[in-house]
Amino acid sequence: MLSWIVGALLAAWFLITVVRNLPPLRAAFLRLDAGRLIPDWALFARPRTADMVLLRRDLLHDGTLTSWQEVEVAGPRRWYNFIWNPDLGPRRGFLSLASIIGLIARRDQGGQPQALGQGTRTALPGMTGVHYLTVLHYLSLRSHAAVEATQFMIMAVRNQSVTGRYAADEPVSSIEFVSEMHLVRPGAGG
Amino acid sequence: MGPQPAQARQRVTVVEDENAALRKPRLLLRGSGKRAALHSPDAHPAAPHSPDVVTWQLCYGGVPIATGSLGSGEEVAFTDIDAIEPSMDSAGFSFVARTATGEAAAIEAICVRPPRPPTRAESTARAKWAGLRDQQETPAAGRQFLAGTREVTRTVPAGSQTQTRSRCVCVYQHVAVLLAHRRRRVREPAPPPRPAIQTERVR
Repeated sequence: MLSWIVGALLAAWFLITVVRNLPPLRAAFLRLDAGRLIPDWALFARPRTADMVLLRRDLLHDGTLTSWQEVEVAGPRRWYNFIWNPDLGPRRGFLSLASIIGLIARRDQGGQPQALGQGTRTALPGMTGVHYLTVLHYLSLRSHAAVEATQFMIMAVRNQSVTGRYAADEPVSSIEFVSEMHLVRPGAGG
Repeated sequence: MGPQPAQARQRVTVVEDENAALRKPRLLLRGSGKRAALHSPDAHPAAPHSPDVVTWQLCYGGVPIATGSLGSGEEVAFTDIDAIEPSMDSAGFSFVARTATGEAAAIEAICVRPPRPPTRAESTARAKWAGLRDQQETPAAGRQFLAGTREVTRTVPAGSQTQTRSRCVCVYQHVAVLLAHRRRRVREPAPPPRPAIQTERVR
């Protein structure tokens, strides 16, 4: 009798696990399963479904603010990259940084709406974080002499790898994080 | 090269060459009304200083990136400018032309450059986060990292014309300063643990 009860319990647990891993129901189960009893049945890490894009806009020495421009981390892609791709490391490094910055920003956002301004709500508290500083350092090194200060944005763009960077239709994209404006050279301006 | 004073500086009209006939950005100068001869400053470092000569300077963000001179003669002249990079924003170019006596010369500058269509990420960012909030006061959380406030000019489209708006924004410290602050904070000894609060169980 006991073995039947245990078997029924395990079978129910298995069925709930299968249902929980259906993408439309995942969020609902996540809310209900406070004790994390139902496993996330992913044998491998979930694949990234959006490209993370780094953008910057600069404040020039004469007070001009430039438009947002995409920063190509580690240069453009080449035809031979499917065999030899030395830039893969820096690209993966940026993807990792961008994911963590976005994750921290969403966690600290607390569901409150974004204030449209110089940076997202979490930019000021996160200013001394390693990930923020790494991206800022990279951009500071790549700044023209005319740039006094810079601001960066991390955006998640879906379907870009399929439809390309220059597709005319409106992409499904979301702004993950916007930094504050920072000097690109120590002791300059102010 | 530091930023130049804004006196007599004029914005450069930037035209994108849709037919991609030009591979290098080109500066077109016209309206001197005198004989003109253009040359690269690198090729001719000692520009002639006769009374008819007009010296010009192309700046990006107030920083000179190319200089040259117009002699007497031609009304229209052009030169390739290698210093214009594809990533430079068209709104940042300005131009100064002066005669040998130091007076501003009435010369129109037009920059023709290869087109750079916006990527979908750029289009989205410009549409969704075009804003620049006027910050007269520094947020309390960021005061210790503030480097200063800056007056920012922004060219925005207003109907069929463009409009220049001015805003005041907070500019925060360079990454080196932030990193030094982080290092100090990490090396600081942890604060002593609070003494345990003694509570008496009420029986």
